[in-house]
Amino acid sequence: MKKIFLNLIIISSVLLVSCTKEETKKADPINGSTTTNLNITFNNTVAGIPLQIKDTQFTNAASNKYTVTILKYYVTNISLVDENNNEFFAKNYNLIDIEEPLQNTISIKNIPTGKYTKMKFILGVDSLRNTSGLQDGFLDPSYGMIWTWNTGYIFYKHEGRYTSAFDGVKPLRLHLGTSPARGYVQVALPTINIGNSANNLTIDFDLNKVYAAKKIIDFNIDNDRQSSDAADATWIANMKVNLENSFTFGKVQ
Amino acid sequence: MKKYIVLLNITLVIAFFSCTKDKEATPGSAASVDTPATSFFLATPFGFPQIIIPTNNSLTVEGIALGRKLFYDPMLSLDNTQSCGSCHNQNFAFTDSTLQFSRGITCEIGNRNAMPIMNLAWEKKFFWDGGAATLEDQVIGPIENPIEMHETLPNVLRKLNNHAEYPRLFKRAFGTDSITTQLLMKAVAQFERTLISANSKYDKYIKGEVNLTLDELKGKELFEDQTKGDCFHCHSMGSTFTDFKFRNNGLDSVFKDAGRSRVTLSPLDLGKFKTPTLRNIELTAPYMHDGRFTTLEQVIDHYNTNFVQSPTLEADIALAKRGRLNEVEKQQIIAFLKTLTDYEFINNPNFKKP
Repeated sequence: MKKIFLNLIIISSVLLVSCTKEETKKADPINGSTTTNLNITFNNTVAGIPLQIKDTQFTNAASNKYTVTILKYYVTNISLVDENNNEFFAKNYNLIDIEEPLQNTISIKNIPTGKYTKMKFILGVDSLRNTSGLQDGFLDPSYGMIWTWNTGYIFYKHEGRYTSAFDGVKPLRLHLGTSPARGYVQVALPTINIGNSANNLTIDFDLNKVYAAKKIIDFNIDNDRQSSDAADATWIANMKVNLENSFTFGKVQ
Repeated sequence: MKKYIVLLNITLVIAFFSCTKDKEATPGSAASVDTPATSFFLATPFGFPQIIIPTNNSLTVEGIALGRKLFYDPMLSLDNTQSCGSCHNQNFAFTDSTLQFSRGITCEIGNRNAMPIMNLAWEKKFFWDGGAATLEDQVIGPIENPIEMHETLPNVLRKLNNHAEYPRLFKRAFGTDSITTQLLMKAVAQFERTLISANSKYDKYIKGEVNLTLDELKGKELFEDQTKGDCFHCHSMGSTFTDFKFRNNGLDSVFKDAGRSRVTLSPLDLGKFKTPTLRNIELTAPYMHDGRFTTLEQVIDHYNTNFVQSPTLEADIALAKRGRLNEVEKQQIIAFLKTLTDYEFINNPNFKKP
């Protein structure tokens, strides 16, 4: 018994140490390094086809035919990790909206120049900011991304129509939010040289992956979810992992 | 002690007086547009927990007056026909007369009974299920709800910003005439925080100003008796008459309305609703989240005999003995509940439509 306990202690301390080791060092822009500005554009597609509103019909992995009239999602707390594991935090709160192309390019100011290998962000709103709508910028409740009956932001909103297996064309309303839905996205970058050859980064988003990346979402079952019912829990968990795997590196210029 | 109360009352009167005075000066007087808003001290009534005003929305005379105007302005609804005051009527402690469910602008019927608006300065969460985290957050709910005022925030802001008076009133209250969602939320919340009911017959009895009748006193005893009324566990005795918690009080075994679970997504919260205050209960009929009971007799009968079992039922109710109150005792509890009616509150001119 004692041996097991001792082993446990050793294992856990090793874990702790390795955890600490992997923790990224904070970037220090004052440390003599020059800074630059970086534009990150979210390129919204369905399996590579640019996402358009109107009547374009798409087909997901569950063979549901569907359209998109509204697609909005929060991209907040972007950070970029360089090859030495320094992490730069942008502290941004942005709302990507396919109807507002200008909103889909996020300007990151004063990022230290260097070679970056990873981009991270929160798909949604962090727990500190998700507690009240008394906020400005893209967190202003007038953007229609807050629940009026349950304080907290809608992290991801897709509305449109789908062809039901049972009774024709039906409305599709998927509003994802609440703490368990908060996505922590990591996008691997081919080492990009920000400030030298790279000031415009494009991240590709594939809407079909939101319904298939890890778990298949079938609109015949999940077509009207507002994250407001204990029965939504499984859908929320599936959407979270799918969304975390719906973004990839596009290009850099 | 009495001296202290008198002093408090004087403070209150002065506070209200200065409020009234300033409100009258609000329209027109262009000279004062750039002067900073006048801070307003909301006195904690005798016997109540200390009022804590959120630091990001301190009360001002101008902010309260603006919130009051907005509260009664039908412009906040899509077709300019309904204001907050339409369903929250001062005569009924800011509930919707005797209606079970209020009607929105499209005449659609809601599914929950309009809550009273009083003593919100002490509340922790808002709506029957506590969905709104702050009083400020509560403000936007009814405006955007399709079965209530059915308006969008961008539209409301457009109407307010293009209005002849509002930009100046916001400037006076918040220093800017660019009206935002945040400022709208803040102004209405400021007015609502001042809606305090603390001078019922019961309060006067506590302060030694009046006596309760024998029936009322017996009712008070039964209210606090664990083996009888056992009301005080949830409707905390003393000042707030609520514990601010969410509980299943045994109305149903199958929940048509998930209640608190809608907010927490937890099955453990199914059928739980906020404990409402009992202040002005005589005026806030019908009762329960869905207004199913029209009389206080029905309410007492529910807790005395008719409550039903379910997995999330409140333990105090689940273990209670059915039929523990006789007819006389039921009437005595009701007599006590009626001492919580506050005529000063429902007639307070500072709370009326400006």
